[in-house]
Parts: sequence; structure tokens; C-alpha cells
Amino acid sequence: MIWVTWRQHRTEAIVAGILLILFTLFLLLTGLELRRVYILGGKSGVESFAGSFPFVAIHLLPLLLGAFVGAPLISQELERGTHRLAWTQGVTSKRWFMSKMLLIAVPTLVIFLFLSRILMWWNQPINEAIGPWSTFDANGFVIIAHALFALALGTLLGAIVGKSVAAIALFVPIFPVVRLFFIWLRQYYLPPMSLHWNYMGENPFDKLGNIWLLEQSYVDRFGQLINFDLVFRTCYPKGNAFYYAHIFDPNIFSCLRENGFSIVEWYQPVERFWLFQGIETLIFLALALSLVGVTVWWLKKKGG
Amino acid sequence: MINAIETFDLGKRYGKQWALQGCTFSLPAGRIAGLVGPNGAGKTTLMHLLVGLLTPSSGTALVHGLSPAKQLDRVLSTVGFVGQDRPLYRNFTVSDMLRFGQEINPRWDKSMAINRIKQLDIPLNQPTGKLSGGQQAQVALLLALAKHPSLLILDEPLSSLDPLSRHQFMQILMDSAVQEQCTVLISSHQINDLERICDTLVLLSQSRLLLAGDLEHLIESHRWITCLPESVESLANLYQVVNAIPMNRTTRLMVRIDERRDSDDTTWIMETVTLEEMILAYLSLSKTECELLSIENNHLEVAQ
Repeated sequence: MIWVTWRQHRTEAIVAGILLILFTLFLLLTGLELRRVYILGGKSGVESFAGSFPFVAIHLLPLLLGAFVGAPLISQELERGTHRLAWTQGVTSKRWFMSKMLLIAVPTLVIFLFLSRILMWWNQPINEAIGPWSTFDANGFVIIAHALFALALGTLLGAIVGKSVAAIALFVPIFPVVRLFFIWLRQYYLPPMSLHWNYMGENPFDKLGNIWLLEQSYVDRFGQLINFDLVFRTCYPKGNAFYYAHIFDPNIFSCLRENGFSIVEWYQPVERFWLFQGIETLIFLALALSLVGVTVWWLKKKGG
Repeated sequence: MINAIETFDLGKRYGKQWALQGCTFSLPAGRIAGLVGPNGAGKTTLMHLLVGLLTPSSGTALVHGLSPAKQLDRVLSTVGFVGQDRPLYRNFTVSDMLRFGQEINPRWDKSMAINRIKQLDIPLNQPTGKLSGGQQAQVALLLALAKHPSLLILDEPLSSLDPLSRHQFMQILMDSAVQEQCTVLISSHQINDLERICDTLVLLSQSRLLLAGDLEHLIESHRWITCLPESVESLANLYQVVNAIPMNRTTRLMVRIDERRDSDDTTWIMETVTLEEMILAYLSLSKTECELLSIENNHLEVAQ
């Protein structure tokens, strides 16, 4: 099966190799530029980088893998009728699929492991300046699990619809929807931490570091959540345009204190970053494995 | 001796539609059986059930006493299959295709494969997609033969071949069947070609198995009867009437005369039938007629 898999996928393998080289070069160059910007402009320079091209491109790689390797894997055999050849020689469709999946998943794992290592280097200035949370998807090892999931999802869709173009057309919207769902769900992987401050003594928020801020609110002296408007009307004379500039302005702290307002923030601390990477990796690996299982079941249901 | 093929009440259903229903027959080893029937009669379905590309919705199939649904590995090691349209990987060269066979089959006769290709003058470094139809058919047959199967199942291997290629294909098929002493089940619309090589006939129509038996014996047990329309009823009491064709003043009946029954009535004329006439008579039956007939002959066994 090793030779068969190589013979059938050598074009994809070569394209993947070229993409990997180009992408590595690109990350090296932009990574050096990021470091230059960080030294010159500090935090503000780095912020503009966080939403830049590498993060768009990095999302494309698992998508390409699922669409051009996963989706045609079974569907192309079905639409060309070659499954009638491949699955009636010496191996059953289940073994054929399992060996192929393994032989494609292992190089995928190696390639994305390499990419994630480069991305971790790339992100160092961002981690220092604004923290790792803003670039979660392209910072760490979750991308490996995203890629394996994309491969498994594309393969299953191909097995079900049996036409490679239709499988790609289904995969291309479904994969981002699943990813977006988990990007939304991510904040709930662990219950957020919260911090109250009644404007007495030292500002504790300064010590939190690069948290992922989920929500900010005010409570009154009885601990009840109160409307922002009330706080603005009472203590921010110039209206809420100045709110963000004055949120930790000591001049209005006395007003807030007198009215018994305190501020609450819900957040995920920076210490949980790697834990969250691990949780998301496990989720996507589990999803990928179940999809492989469903594909085996599907093939088994159709034939032997 | 174990039958090469044995089915009991075998059926495959898609939704509410049966592609094959209530198929019970057995084929002893060493037979060369022609499988005939119109398109959509269930020929491909029957073959796919035998090689594990489909799982049955009802009943059982046994190949050399083994169930393709449960012991597919062992079934595949003894069965050579050429699927519809003689599938090959079109971008593989002929030698790639042979390597494929070698990699994917536990038992593979490399020297036989190479020798056969050389004898046939097929260029080894040509992509299979660029070979002539006849050469493609030969490569497809070779992929089924090189594992030395004891049963060969061929799904319309002669379709869209020119007469010369058809002849060559049949020649090699017959030589190999004799050399390897293997059983053959071959479907085709070319009744003339089948008549030349087959000793056994299996006939499917409207998802029902209508005939399975020794070819000579089947022809011998069918007759044309030309009679007056009013005698049809009394003849139906004597013989199993397959088909009745109203002529100008008489009626022509195809009857089955397994047991010779004498009658004093001399108002009809009896004539022998040709294979083609007999097959056509069965193929022109309606769905209900096929159902009745198949339930009447609920077990068709080919004599040893």
C-alpha cells in the first residue's frame, strides 16, 4: 500500500512540498520584519501584525488539504469506477482505506508539526507584546489537529456523495463553519475567571498580564449588575466617548467609589493558553477519529 | 465438492426498489457460466454481492463456501473480478498497473503477468488511458488472473470492443480457464460469444432469477409450439408456458417440456428453439410474469 499511496498522491505530495517551502520562507521573512517592527514601534507596531496575512494563509492550509487530498480520496475512485478494481484485488475496502488514511495522515502530521514550530517562533514578539490569545489559531499546535480533522472530513464527504467536485463544494463551506463554531465555543472550554475592584487600593488589573478579556461590567454595592449608562451619567461627565480613555483614570475613581460602583472583568488568564491549545487539539483529534470511524462504517455498510 | 457459487434468497434493495430479489441458485466448480439479462436486470448487483462490493439486504451468498459479507479477505484471495467498464487507473503506466497488482495482492504471479503483457505486445511504459480498448481489456483481465483465482467473475468485459478484440479476449479467457481449472461467471449482451464458450446459462430479468442450468439441457427442454388460439389453455395444462405470441391466425408459444408428456391432440406443431430465441422469450416477460416464474422455480441448481 505504501507504493500505491505514493503513486496515487505523488502530485499532491510535490505540491505540498513546494507550498511548505514557500510558506516557510514567507514566515521567516515576515517573522524577521515583525521583530524589526517590535523593536522600533513596540506594542502598537505588533498589534497591526496580529491580523495580517500569515493568519489568513494559515487557515487556508488545512482547507486546501481537506479539499484537494481528503475530498477526492474515495470519491474519485467511486466516480471513475476504480473502486471496483482496488477493492476486489487482495484487500478489502476497509483495509485499503485505513492504510491510505494512515499513510497520508502521518506526513500531514509531520508537515504541520514543522509548521506549528515555525509559527511558535513567528509569534514570540506578539506573545511578549500583547499575549498569545489574539493569534490562538496560528500560535501553537492546534493547527495539526485542524489539518487532520480537515482531511477526515473531506474524505467522509467524498465517500458519501461519491463525486469529487460535489465533495469539494460541500467541504469548502462546512469546514470553516465547524472551525468558526469552535472559535466561538473556545471561551467556554473552562469557566472564565473573574475579578472585582471597588476602586480602593492598588489597581489589580495591572497585574493580570495578557489576559483574554471576555466581558466587562459594573456592579453596585449590593453586588447587582448595573447598567453602563448609569455609571456614565454619574461619573463620566462628557459621555461615553471618553469611557475607554478614562476607564482607569484615577481622577474619577473617587466618584465611582462614593457611588459604590465596582468593576468586574471575566477573562481567561494567560496561563491557560497551552491548556486551551491542548483541549482544542483533543476535541479536533476526537472529531477526526470519529469521522474516520464513520467512513469505515459507511464503506462497510455499502460493501464488505 | 463445494459449489463455486451458492446463493440463497439473495436480495439487494435500494430504498423500496429491489435491484435483485429472491435469487437462489448454485454453480458447481469448473463451469463456464454466461449471465444474461437486459440492462438493470440485476447482473452487476449479483456480481457485486459475490465480490463484496455490496452487502446483501436479504439472504446469503457463498463463494467456495465462504461469505463475502463476513470473510471478504478469504473470498478475495480466490476470486478474480473485472468490473464494469474494465476499470484501470488511466494515468498509471502498464508497469505501474502491474506493480499495483503486486502490492495489493497477497498472491501475485509476477512472471506470468510480465510474460502475458509481452506476448500481447502491450507497451509497458504507456499510460493505460492511452491503450486501445482491447489492450485495456487484456490488462484488466490480467489483473484478475495473476492471483491464480479459482473463480473468475467478469462484468460485461466485451462491451464496446471490436470483433477482433472480442475474439482475442475470449481466446485468452478460455485458455486461462482451462489452464487454471477455474470457474467463470461472465455477463454479456453478446449471446453468440457466450454460446461459443459457455456450458451454463444464468438468466436474470426484472431483478429476478429466471433460469440457471446447463446450456444444452435448457435448449433441449424448450420448444416452440404453433397452435390455434383456442388450444392455448389445454396446452398450458400440459406444459409450463413461457411466452405466447399471437400470430395471424395461430398462436406461437414457447414452452418448457422438462418431462415429456404425450397427447393425442395433433392440432399443433412443435419445433426446437435456438439459444437466442429462448433467451429473448424470457427477457420479454413483464415484471409480474417474472415474479411468478421465479417463485415457481424457487431453487435453480446446475447439475454437476
